[in-house]
Amino acid sequence: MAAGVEEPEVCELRLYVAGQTPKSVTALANLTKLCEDHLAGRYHFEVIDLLEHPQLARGDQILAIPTLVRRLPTPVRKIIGDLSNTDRVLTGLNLRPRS
Amino acid sequence: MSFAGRTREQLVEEVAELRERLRDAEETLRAIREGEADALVITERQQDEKVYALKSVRAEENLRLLADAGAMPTEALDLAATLQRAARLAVSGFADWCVIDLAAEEGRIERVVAAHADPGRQALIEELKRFPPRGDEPHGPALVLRTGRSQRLAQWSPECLESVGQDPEHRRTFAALEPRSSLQVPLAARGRILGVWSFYSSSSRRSYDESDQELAEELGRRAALAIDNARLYGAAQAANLAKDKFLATLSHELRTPLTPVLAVISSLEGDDRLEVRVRESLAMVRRNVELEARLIDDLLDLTRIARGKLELSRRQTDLRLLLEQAVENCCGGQDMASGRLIVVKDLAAADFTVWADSPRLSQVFGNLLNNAVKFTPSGGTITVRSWSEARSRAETEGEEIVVQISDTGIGIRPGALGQIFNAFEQGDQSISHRFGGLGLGLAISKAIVELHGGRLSAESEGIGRGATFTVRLPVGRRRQEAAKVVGAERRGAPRADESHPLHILLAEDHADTAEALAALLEGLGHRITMAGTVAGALEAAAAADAPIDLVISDLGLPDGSGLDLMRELSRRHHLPGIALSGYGMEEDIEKSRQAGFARHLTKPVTLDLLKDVIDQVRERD
Repeated sequence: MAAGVEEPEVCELRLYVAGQTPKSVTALANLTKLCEDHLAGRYHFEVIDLLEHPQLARGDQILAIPTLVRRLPTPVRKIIGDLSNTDRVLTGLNLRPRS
Repeated sequence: MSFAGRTREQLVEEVAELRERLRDAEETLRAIREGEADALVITERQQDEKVYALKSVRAEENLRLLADAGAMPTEALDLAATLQRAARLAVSGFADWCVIDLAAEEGRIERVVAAHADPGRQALIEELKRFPPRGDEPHGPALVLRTGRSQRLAQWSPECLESVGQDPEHRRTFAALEPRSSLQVPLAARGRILGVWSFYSSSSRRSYDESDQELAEELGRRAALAIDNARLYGAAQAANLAKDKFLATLSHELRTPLTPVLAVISSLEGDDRLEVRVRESLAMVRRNVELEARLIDDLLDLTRIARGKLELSRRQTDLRLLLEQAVENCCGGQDMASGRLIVVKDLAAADFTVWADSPRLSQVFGNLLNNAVKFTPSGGTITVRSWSEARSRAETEGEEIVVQISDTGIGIRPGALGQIFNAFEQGDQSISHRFGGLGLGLAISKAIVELHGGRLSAESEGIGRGATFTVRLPVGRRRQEAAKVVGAERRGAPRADESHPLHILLAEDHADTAEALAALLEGLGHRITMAGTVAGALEAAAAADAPIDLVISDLGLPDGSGLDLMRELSRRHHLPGIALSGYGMEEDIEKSRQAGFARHLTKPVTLDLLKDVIDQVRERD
């Protein structure tokens, strides 16, 4: 592919939390900011509260919360934790500009 | 458990999936450890009932247990160690003792781990390993293995104890462990039940309840994942081994037919009765067969490098002589004679000594020079320079010798410079079509130079602008001793001592090879007794009218191995031997040595080499 312009690909994200724990709240705040800064206009995310939907944990094999799952583009990627390390999240989501 | 049913693609896919899972598991553990996330426990039952349980299963203790258990998949590559660790984890609070049983072939069950919290009772619990459950038992692990459902016994009664055990001794051991309450959970992964994990609490300890059962089930799932990973990893390793073996076999098959061809050509080339024109054609045939053999050698070298098994046998080596020889070998040919290429030598005046494996270094310079010749069009120039300079790397002191081989050839695309040292890659796909070759030479050369503690690098200003390869080698330690030692073994001047012919027993079942070798050896003045089997060779050795001095044996004989033959011959007749084999992996060479062979030669074997080796073995004797 030619360097430069790439098709904007919509990023579909899911954040798994369990109620309003401090880590979940931090994760949500971090995610909101990160998406606006790096994915403006091409992301979609939903927050899944496992207190209400525990059965959904099995599908994405959630072992810890909070966990962010990038469902699209494939392959599925998981980032575990409160998303405070922006670098690691960007690398995990493959949003790092390749040098 | 069997992997036989899976295709290679399935295995590759599973290993890729395994890698993903390992990464996720590592990431989970890191996040929990660094306080960025909480371990999550949702049990199957809770899912059904839409009840959520975080940190509520039992106390902190259980949560820690699960967080630790989360580490299992990442360290799962050694199965036995992993299960031991899991068991120790379980008896550090959750249980007083536990055993892990795994399903084996043909319905058998293996008791792989038995652990007790009290080190003083470990010996007692080890006894339980002598009584693995039988597949058809109506209770206990066998039942869980069949149904896949966990079992809980809140309180063991004396009647329960009576019903357990295959014989009185088993029952006594069991009773001595004082079971009070127990849990048995399946180890299930990807829809298969791999085994059963049984947890027991002893007198005065807790009685297991439902939430304990859920926790145990979760532990079971994680352990099963670990077991599954370990087995997949094992399968991947086995596949890798199979690949190495396949390459070794392939090279054997490819080499074997080359031996008689080379032998016959060598002897014909030296036949003065043949016309010069014919002998020139023969030389051409020989060069190409040798090239073929070199390609096979490269493939073998590559498997050695990939497994970190390439070894150097180093001596004081005069690099200048070695270089002169490499240039002579590679650039002394038609291209130069016809004026197609010009070779400029600019070698430092002093002779430089390096601590090196000279045949291997010759291989490196040969590769680089051959590349330069191959990729430089008519009218081009190849320049070979060498000089010494202070070593630039801070961590080591001393001098290094720099050898630079430049050409005015087709050059290398800037983007491709990083890849040319990778096996099977040439700068450009089209290059392999135009110039042939497997693209192994540079990968092998780089590995050899690095084993010598040196570096190999490439520069090019781009397509059509030539290329420069630079080898940097540390200077040898004892320079003054230098001078004479050269890497000339491979082409060493033949000096067969014809005044002392040997009686050689030649064991070889490949008729063409046997004939050709016998003719060559006889040409050197030796007397040959031939045998095509182990039995035939032993018989010939016993019956020989004149004593046999040396045995040369193929390793794959129809009625046995040349290794067995050598063991017998050295035991009965104290004969020295030379092994001839298509297999040239280290294991093969080592096996030969152990069987009593003085040398192991990999086919195809040239006449010069055979002569040299016979002389060496004779001298040693």
